[in-house]
Amino acid sequence: MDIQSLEDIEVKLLLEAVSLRYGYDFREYTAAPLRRSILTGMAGEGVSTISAYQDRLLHDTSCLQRFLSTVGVSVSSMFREPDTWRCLRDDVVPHLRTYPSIRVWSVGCATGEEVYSLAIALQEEGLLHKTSIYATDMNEDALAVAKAGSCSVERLRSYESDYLRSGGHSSLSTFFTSSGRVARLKRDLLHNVTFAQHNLVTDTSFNDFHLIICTNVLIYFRPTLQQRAHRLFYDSIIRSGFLALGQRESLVFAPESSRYHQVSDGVSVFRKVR
Amino acid sequence: MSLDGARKRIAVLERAPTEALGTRHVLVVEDEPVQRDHIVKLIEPLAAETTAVATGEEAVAALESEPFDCIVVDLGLPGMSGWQVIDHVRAKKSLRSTPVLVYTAKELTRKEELKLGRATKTIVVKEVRSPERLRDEVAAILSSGAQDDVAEQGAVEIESSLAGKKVLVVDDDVRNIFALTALLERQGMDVTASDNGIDALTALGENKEIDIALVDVMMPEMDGYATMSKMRSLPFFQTRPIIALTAKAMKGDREKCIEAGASDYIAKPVDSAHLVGMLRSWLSH
Repeated sequence: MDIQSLEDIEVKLLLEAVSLRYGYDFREYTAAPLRRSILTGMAGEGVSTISAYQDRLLHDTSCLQRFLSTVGVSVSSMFREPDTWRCLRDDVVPHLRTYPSIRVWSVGCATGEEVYSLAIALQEEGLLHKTSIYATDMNEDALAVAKAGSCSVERLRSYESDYLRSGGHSSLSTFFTSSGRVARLKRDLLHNVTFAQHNLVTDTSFNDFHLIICTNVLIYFRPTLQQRAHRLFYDSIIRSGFLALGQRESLVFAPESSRYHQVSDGVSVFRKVR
Repeated sequence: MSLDGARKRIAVLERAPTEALGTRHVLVVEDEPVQRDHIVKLIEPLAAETTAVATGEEAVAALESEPFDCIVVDLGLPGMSGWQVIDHVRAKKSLRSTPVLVYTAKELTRKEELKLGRATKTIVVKEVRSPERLRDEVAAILSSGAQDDVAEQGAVEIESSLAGKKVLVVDDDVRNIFALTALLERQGMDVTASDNGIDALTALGENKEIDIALVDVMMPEMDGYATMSKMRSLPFFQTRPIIALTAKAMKGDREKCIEAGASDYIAKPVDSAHLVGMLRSWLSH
């Protein structure tokens, strides 16, 4: 038996162990990024085999939390993929205006950059006051960071050009207060945001939404799991509601793909048509 | 065929399914003449007949004289308001199942929307893109026929032991509030509904007779856990049953509900028969 297959056995056992012990089920995540997360986790813990890592994961809850922070997480930034944001402002917002109140679900919000972008864009479009944003992630630690609403002044500056390309009306700094090197999102922007733990692998629909944003989350899922997520999204979007995915993501694995139409060329924003 | 010709042909084909709804009759209630004409023009291609009136009183008279498949009503009318027209429709057994679409320029509060939501499925706020949405919503109403909520619950048996019991439903998921309210009212229960924890606690304070509470876990501002533990701190509600509604199925989620004060929990989407059975068992204690 070569090393590669021994490693495969260890990965399989580790995922089984985490699922049985904690209920986090990563068995339908795509293999390569998952393996990278495990190796990163091992390096962080200073263990040399996956089996030893499994041992620690089983006995140390804090080790699991650290592992969660590395699985299925993309590096996030505000107004990332500005064309998508532009499309949301230009093509989706006019429809949202026709509703007395609006619900938006930010799926896999991680450390919050997407939620802040959403709140700022909706504020500029005059809709934030009548919008409830539900921001969910499976990782409680990430949610705690997201809730805090802070970011370094340098990083904030680096988001400025994407913000402007997304159709931003002024400057990002107007939405933050800064002290020293830390910028903090103005509190009223997060007033209508509900941060909650939700796991796409195991949990079900909890509301129906006018817009669901799920960018660069499904890329970590195998087709079967993507299908589950898409079913959940379809069931959670109102008639004629919208689904925004990452720019390079598509509805290929969505059994419901014929029930959406693409809102605008080149961006993965879809409208439920039936 | 020219490109234009082809486009026209496609447009005709796309309209075909709605044109098949040839027997539908829509009532439009709008006091402002220009807007009224505009709405009628939008809806005319969808329905066999469109009747337009300017006041609530005329609307009520029209509803007395013939049946309608959909009512489009503005809220701000002189004299009898749109709200009163809706109350009238909902109070009369013969009209109750007629779908109502509210078309309004007014910003609605959450409470107003919730109140309207119990009586109407669709609210369109007058905006640039509203004509398009109004047309689509009316088309959807006309093609789906009468409201389907009641039919769905036909399968659940009536539990006589639930009749007359008072239940508090707390959920921000509007689909759930209306579906649960309809289901429980059919069981003869007296339902109080709130879409958030703060209002639910107020409602509980005002109505100490409530026998049982259904509380959603994931809600804005005050989540279900906090709501349940606050409910438990009310002396009169310490021992009454609370059932948590949860979309979460992870290990430990159930324990978290029980720790917060829930007596039991039920997974979303809620299975009607399961819920009714659970209510019966908790209320027969």
